[in-house]
Amino acid sequence: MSLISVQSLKYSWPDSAKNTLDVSTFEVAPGEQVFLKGPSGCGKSTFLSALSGVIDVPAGSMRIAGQDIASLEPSGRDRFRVDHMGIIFQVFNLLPWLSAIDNVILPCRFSKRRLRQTKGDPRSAALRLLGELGLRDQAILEAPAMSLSVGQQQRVAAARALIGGPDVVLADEPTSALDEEARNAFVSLLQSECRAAGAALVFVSHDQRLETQFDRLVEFRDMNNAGAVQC
Amino acid sequence: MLTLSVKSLWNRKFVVFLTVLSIALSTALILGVDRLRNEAREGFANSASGLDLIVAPRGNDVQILLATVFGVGSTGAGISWDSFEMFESNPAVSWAVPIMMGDNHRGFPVIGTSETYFEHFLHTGGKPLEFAQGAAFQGKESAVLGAEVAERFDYSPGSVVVNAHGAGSVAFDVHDEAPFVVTGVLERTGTAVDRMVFVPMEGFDALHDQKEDAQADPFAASSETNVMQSDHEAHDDHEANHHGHEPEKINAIFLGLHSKTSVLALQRLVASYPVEPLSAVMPNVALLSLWSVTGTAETALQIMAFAVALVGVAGMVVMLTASLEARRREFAILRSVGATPFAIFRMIVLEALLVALAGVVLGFVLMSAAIALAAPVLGANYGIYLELSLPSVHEILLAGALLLGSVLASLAPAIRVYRMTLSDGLTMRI
Repeated sequence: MSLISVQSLKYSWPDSAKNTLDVSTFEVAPGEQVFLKGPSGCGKSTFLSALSGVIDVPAGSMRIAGQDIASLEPSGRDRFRVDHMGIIFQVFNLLPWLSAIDNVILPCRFSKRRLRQTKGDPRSAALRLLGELGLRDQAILEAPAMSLSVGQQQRVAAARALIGGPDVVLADEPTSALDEEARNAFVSLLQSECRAAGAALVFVSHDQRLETQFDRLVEFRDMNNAGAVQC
Repeated sequence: MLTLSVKSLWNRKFVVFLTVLSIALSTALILGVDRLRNEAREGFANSASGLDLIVAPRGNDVQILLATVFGVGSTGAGISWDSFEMFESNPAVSWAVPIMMGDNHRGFPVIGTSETYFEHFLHTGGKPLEFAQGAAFQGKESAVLGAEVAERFDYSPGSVVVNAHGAGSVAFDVHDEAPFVVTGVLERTGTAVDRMVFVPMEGFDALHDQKEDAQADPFAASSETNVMQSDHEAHDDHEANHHGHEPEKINAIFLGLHSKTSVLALQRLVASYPVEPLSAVMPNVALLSLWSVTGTAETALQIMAFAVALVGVAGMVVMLTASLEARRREFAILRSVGATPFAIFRMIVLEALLVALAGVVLGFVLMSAAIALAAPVLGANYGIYLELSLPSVHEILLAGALLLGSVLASLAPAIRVYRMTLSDGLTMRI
């Protein structure tokens, strides 16, 4: 059974007459790594908002881990999101005034499921993940996140998305602030960590140089009937 | 959640500190005004707590109380010694202490009285006066000092004090021809007694007997002297009684009664005394009318203090609201890791609560520090004795009201942030 299953999802922003999203079908299997490719402005971010349950989509159009999340209350969707998903943004992923470790632990503060899956010891889990991502220096880990380099910040964000074994990691252009070398290293690390954690990965980017590393490539343009006109 | 809020506030520590300080100052002001008012009232009540009635020439109750118990101002023309003896021998009266006033020692009131004062005067819920050094009067040129007077001028038994006529600290008319020798210093009481100099009536009279010669009004002088001389003759044979000396006129009588229930009856008796027009003042009743006079000023001060608190709380709301825009990113990140909009709403309210709590605690510390600094000055100059103490129930309620006000005020930015996070979702609009 698919981990993510989208069927005829239509969405328009409240003040817009036209659909922003019109996705007939989109499936992600458990543990699968999908590269969702497309230029900016085609509704990729809106699609991720729909997947993460931030915007209201019609009930029945989307199931994640067997749950029709559109039918949940907003607060239920918030809980579902943190229980089952890790999210990485383009930039500014971290709370600048928290240390790297505390940033990684954040999902375990809000999700009992994620906390349970660290065996009640989020700190060790965070240290292990950060270590595997190449952040071992205790001074860096305890320093406020704002003192880290962008590359370090993205690795901390990846560790945060992965802690407590979510079902899927949603990554929204996570490499656009990195230079080429750091970009490739980051994507490889993210993929191997997702594999190790058994999490699926939905990686959204316009950067086609990365696409060969994924199980499957989906052109957002082809998938989104609404966006096809504009993009 | 708490650690998140604390760390988030710490990240903005400069602005937060200023906000905490403004709330602290308003807390200190509110509590300080309240404390000052209560301590002043308590101090006044303690000074007069052992007296059942004060008999003085007819006049205003408050004026009589202030003059006789606190040494502020003076009463009208005197009471004759006959009247004193009449009241002293009344069966309802347990004790009577004569009081003479009108002089000062370097600004502190000088009271002419008898040794019975030290035996009968009670303060602060029934405590008797105790001697810290020396003892009561020994001869007509002796003086007993209140603790504050002794400390201020470094007097001890054996020191010589010279008094001046009038009540002010600037003396134009110094009785340097009649010095007194200190025989005793009283223990500190925390009441007006600490600021008084006591001399025997005999000594007090002696000053003024000599002074009469220099009276400016010759007619007044001569008639007054005549009366005094005739009275002296008439009373010569009583010289050996327990008061030792019989002055012509005294300014007031402190009365203690056997039973409180006879206060009203005795008060009526005094009011209808046919020989001279007198008033009998119940100290507690006079204090109430004093408070009704000062109440307006207190209310004004309290309103000011609350206005300042309002400004402090408003400053906090401004701080929280102004930071919301800059913190949109923070809220979006928190939402992406599972914080619901309501959790972020709670975080804002919690921040307000923490800031207000820190402000209130710091405010109490500031007020205590201010009291510690101001207490000696207030005690020496105004007879108001402030003590450091833990917050009273009333003060805790005031502080609680301030906290509650802060939390309620923080609902405005919290509701804003709730709406904002709902519409922003996880996308950060930068």
